[in-house]
Amino acid sequence: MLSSTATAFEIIMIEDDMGHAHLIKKNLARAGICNKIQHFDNGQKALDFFFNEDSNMDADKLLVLLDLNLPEVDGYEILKRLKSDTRTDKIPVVILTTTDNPREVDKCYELGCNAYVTKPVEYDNFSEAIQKLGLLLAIVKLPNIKHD
Amino acid sequence: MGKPLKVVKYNSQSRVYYQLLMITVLFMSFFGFSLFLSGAFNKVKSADDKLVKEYELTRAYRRLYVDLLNMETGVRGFQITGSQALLEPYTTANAKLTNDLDLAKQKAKEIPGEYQQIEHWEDSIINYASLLDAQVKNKNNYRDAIPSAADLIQQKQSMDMLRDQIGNRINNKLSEIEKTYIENNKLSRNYSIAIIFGNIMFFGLCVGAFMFILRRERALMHAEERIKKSENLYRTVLDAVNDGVFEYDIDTRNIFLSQAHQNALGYDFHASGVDAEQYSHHIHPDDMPKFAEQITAMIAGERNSYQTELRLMRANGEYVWHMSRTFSLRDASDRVTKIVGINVNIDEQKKREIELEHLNAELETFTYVTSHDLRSPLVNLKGFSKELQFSIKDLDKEIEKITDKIDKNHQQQINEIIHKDIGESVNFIISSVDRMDNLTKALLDLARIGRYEIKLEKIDVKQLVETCVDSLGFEIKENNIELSVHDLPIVVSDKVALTQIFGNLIENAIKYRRDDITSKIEISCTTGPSEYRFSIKDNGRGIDDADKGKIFELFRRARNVGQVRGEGLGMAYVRATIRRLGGDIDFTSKVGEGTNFIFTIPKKLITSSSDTTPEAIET
Repeated sequence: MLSSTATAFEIIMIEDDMGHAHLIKKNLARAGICNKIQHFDNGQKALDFFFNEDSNMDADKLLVLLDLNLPEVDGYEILKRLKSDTRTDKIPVVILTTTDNPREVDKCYELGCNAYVTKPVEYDNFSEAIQKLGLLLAIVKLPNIKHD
Repeated sequence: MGKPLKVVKYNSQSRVYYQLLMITVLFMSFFGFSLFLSGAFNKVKSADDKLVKEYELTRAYRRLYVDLLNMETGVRGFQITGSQALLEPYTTANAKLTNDLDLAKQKAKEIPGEYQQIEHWEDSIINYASLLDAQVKNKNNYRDAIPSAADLIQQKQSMDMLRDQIGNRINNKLSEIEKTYIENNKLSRNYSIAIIFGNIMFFGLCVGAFMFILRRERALMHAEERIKKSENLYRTVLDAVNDGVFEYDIDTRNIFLSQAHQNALGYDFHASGVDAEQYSHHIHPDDMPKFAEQITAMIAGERNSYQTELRLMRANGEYVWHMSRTFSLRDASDRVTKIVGINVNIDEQKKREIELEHLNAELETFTYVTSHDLRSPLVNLKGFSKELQFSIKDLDKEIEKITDKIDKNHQQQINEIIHKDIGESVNFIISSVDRMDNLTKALLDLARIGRYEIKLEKIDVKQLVETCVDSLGFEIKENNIELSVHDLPIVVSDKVALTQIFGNLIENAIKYRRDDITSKIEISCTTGPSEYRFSIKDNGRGIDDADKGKIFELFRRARNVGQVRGEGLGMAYVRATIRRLGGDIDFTSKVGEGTNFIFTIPKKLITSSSDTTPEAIET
């Protein structure tokens, strides 16, 4: 598989469904993605990670996989916060959710998401979609965030 | 309503013109009559002046004539007697002669043609006077002097001529004067008659005008009374009617509200009305901009009537839904002067409508959210059961590697556990999850119908049905189905929705066919007054009476469906779609004979412009 050393970034997966999280990890691994994956099962925990003072986040080495239906703080709110803060607005955010309502897709792009991927119910398709996403992630080039 | 007003106005305007014309004619005739009178007066006066002059001239002639006679008489008596006393008339007359001649000349100058006459006489008179003078001197000098016969003849001729001419002239003048006098008399009598006639006419006109004004005034009073009466009736009716009536005067910006309307809302405005600005606070602020915009459009004359639903505030601050219908009234110059309207209380039905809309929206949202939320666990169910299958395969491979180390009995048992127990279980899970997935998808589709935006276009239904039939071509050929499509109309409707309706109904007719006879499907259409009635008729299994009520229900399937698979959502979906298009569906059926589905779609679909639809239904 592709070398992941060129894109040594960490994947932040925000997903409340443990089953989904497990299946996503499994299929990303099948696509050869062996980057570190940090998993948050709750919106607030994710926000704490990004915005807490004592968080040791390295913003230019992150990529976010974000679900929309989350407890406490939902995906839209997280997306909005990430994209409206200069510290985090360059982090690529991929929405990964079951919803395929065009209205919600539009809303996410308006809020500044970088890609929107629907989780297919059919597992063959699901597996394929996640693996393709993995292949994409393997060649993604992250922005160079300048620290003033 | 604008027209009769216009006519009335036009009539009164023409009446004003008519009156102005009458006054002008009156004035003109009065003026003309005055002109005529003064003309006639001048004529009479100048005729009289002329008569006076003629008369004075005649008198001057007469004095001259008498002077001459006196002179002759005096001289004759003096000659015969030589008495100075008899000469006296001559002396007196002779002394006056020059004066009288001058006077006559002066008077003659004022009358054309007379002066030449007197100039002609003057020479003869002076001649004659000097002749007499010579005779008197001669007698004074010679007491016995007798004038010669020739002198006497000359004197007689002169005197005769003068006496004839002057005398005749005087006589002529006198008869002329008499004639003129009679004429003048006639003239002045005519003048008097004209004055009297004129006065009578004038008086008559005055009386006529007075009568006319009196009659007009009375008619106006009657009209006013009638208007007052009908206005009272109008107000009484307004007050009696429960629906609120309002009247907005654009010039005064005054709004009149019927008593019943005020009572219903708890207002207590002055009988003469209320200022528009003040009234506008009684309309719900959310409804005000649209209402104001429409009223402005009506004042501008862009539209004549308007209908809207709005909330009016009761005195206690509570809002009540009203249906407001307004009309504009125009004056003769086509300017909008008034806006009248009827406000009908629709609060209850409106509230129910809103409630229904909310319920509908809630139901839709519920269906939508539920079916979405169901999909999340489905992903896991599907995913992990598939992963289990993968694991079984992996396990198989691993076991294969060590088969020689396991005895036959155990091999058999392991095989059974892995493939029968675990494998079958997993398969059941997968097929059930698939079915559940289909159900949620179907639910989602049903929920989407309500949100579906209808796009109207012209559709050749025959062509549309043939497309549907083509896509089912395989099943039709395979099962030897005789499918006939009769004449179908061209309609204005939604193509996608109509395709789904026909597709589902034809598919059902194929699915639920009888295998023991040749299946026949017939598609036809009849036209009603306001709708098309489509019929899809088959000779299939038919529907049992006990199942008839369930056909359009969600997730219900009839008992005689046999091996036919389906989610049991088809007909519910079809009915919801047809209703969305403004039509409905029903069927007749008999077990063993077949089913005839009949659905209608309106000829004219009114797409509800959902002005009042709450936001909830959109999301």
